Amino acid sequence: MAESILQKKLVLGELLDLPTFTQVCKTFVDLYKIGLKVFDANGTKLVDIKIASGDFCAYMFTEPNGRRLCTETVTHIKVRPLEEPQIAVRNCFSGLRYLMLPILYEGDMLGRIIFGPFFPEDVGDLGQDLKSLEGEFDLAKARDLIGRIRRAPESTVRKVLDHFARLVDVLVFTSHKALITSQLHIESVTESYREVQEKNKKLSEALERLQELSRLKSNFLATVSHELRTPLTSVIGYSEMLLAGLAGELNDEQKDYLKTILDKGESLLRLISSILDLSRIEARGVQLQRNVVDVNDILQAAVESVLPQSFKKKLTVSTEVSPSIQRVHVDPDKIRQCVINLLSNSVKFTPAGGHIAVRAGPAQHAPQNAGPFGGAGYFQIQVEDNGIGIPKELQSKVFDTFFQADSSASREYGGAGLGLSIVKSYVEAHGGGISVRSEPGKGSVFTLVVPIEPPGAPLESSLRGVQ
Amino acid sequence: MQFNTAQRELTLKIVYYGPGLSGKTTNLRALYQRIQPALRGHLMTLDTADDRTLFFDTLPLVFKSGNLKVKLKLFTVPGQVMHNSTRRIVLQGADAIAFVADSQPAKRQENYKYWMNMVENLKMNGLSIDSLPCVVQWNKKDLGDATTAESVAKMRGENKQPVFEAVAVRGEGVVETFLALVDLTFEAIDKTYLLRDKIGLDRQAFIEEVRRCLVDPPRIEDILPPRGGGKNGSGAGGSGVGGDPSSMAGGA
Repeated sequence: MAESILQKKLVLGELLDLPTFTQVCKTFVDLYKIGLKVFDANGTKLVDIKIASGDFCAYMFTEPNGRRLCTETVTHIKVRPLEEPQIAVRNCFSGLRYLMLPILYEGDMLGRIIFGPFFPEDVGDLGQDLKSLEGEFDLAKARDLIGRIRRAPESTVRKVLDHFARLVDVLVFTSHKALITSQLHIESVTESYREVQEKNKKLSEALERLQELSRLKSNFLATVSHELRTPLTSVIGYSEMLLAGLAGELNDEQKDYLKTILDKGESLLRLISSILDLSRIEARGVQLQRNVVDVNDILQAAVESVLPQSFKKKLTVSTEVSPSIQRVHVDPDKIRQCVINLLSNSVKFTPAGGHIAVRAGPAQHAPQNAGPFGGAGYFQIQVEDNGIGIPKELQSKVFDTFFQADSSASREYGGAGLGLSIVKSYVEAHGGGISVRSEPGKGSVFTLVVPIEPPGAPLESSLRGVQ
Repeated sequence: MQFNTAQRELTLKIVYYGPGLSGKTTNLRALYQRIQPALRGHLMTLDTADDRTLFFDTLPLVFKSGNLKVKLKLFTVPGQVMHNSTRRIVLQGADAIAFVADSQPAKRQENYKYWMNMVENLKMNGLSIDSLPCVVQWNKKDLGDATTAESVAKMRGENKQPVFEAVAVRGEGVVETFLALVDLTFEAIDKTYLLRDKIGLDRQAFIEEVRRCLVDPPRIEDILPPRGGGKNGSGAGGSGVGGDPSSMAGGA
């Protein structure tokens, strides 16, 4: 981002509208009959209004010594360091006097105000330095000219200077405020425009990529469907026809063999579906179709899909949804698939008569990168069973593709080891995570933690998912 | 941060970040009341007709610490969602962050979202919350409930940022939050600029100088843990360090 106005050093001449400010200064000079100068921090003169001192100063400038001493005074009032917010005094060799005050703003010296020259009441006559130049100047003429300059007590001029400084402070503050407001408005608009441009570019690139991927996906799915599913459908179909007796009566042994072919054929079809899911994930990542949905609906649909298998094994399945989680902004198909996969595992690995519980509620543990308020942005779904459990040393591997806790050839439970890998991919695509807690012989608890809203969702969206 | 070694001048930018209406401006107003008038600059508030911050608020504090001139520039960001680009601009060059969270239970998710928004905006400015001094203030403590107290305890248990509770509208917890953040900020810049070795300015002396800028300041030992200890603070009326790390991020 370009450097903001907030980072830039302030310059007095840029803050004040000089013609207007000069007019204000003139009214001051007219009112108090004292000259006024304003310099910025670099010594650039912004305002210089003289009154009644012109003739006297011009006369002093006519002789070399007067010129030298006059220049010394002017240089001094212009460059003498002023840091403290206090009035400094400079006496001119002629007996006149200047008062100086720095313009301090937010700790920075923006410039200085100089009041003078005036003829202080405590000085009775011309200054000693001027009197000592009697040979060069006509002192009577000098007295006549200096008499035209405002004679005033220093205390009065100090009050006027202090009053003027306060006025300048208000002007600087007001101008600074107006400057910041206008500049920041421009900066905000520029930044928003840049952001929109960037997002448009990304959207355009994403659209191109998606169109290409969509084409590849369609080709791939068409090929796989044809090459794998068509022959398998024939295997399953002919097995069913044989079982139905369409090719003649079968004996019991033949029927058993056919049931096995049919059963394995259907398993193979499910496996192919899982591989297709995984292929899609690997080919282009998980593409989420987010919708605002009710968690309860997702759980009910998932449970219904495993009820037949759980009924066969006489398992009880319970669901519980915390009232504090209602609407969530997720891909309902993906999350439902996750819950189905977890439930299928539980059904598979829980002995007959066991129990499976599905619970949804506020997240107990947010992902590490979620910041200190992470817990408020996530919900969790837990699937718990009292099945065979997973040994501790294998728990970190169960989400690996093709991993099976029992990989022996004679293993008791089927499956390709893809279910949990797919769950992990889907949950991580949502910006969430999955974890497992298990004890062999006692059961397992799988926990999905998913953001209630997409991470980085616009601030204006508000689901009020957590009450 | 700007450190002008020739002029012995140190400028630090402290930003108050948080959800809309969490009390960032109120913090600055309360702090303004507690700073010695001679040392504070103008409290500049760029607000809209409905009293919401339009761009930001700023409050400068200028003082001398040893022979070093120190300028603390305090900013708030606008909380309304539509002002994200302004929030990002205000974060530019930030030296420290006070995150003002809202204790009201209904605002829990807002706190989370604005924290993530801040992390993102810092990243856009080339800054990271992991390296920037930061304190969290749970403002409107009086409007929180048991779940808020639980969240505060959990956050303290995580021991990442000092956590304070406040009722900024009554001025409670405001100075404590500020002093703790200044202390953390000095610690961070001292690591880079070795102020103690180079100009003999140590953390204790610095924080004492800041304390002297305030009217009726609290004792440092009441706010901050002993040097070399953990980062947790107890805050105004806070219940001290505690919390159960195992029950972190409790959601609803």
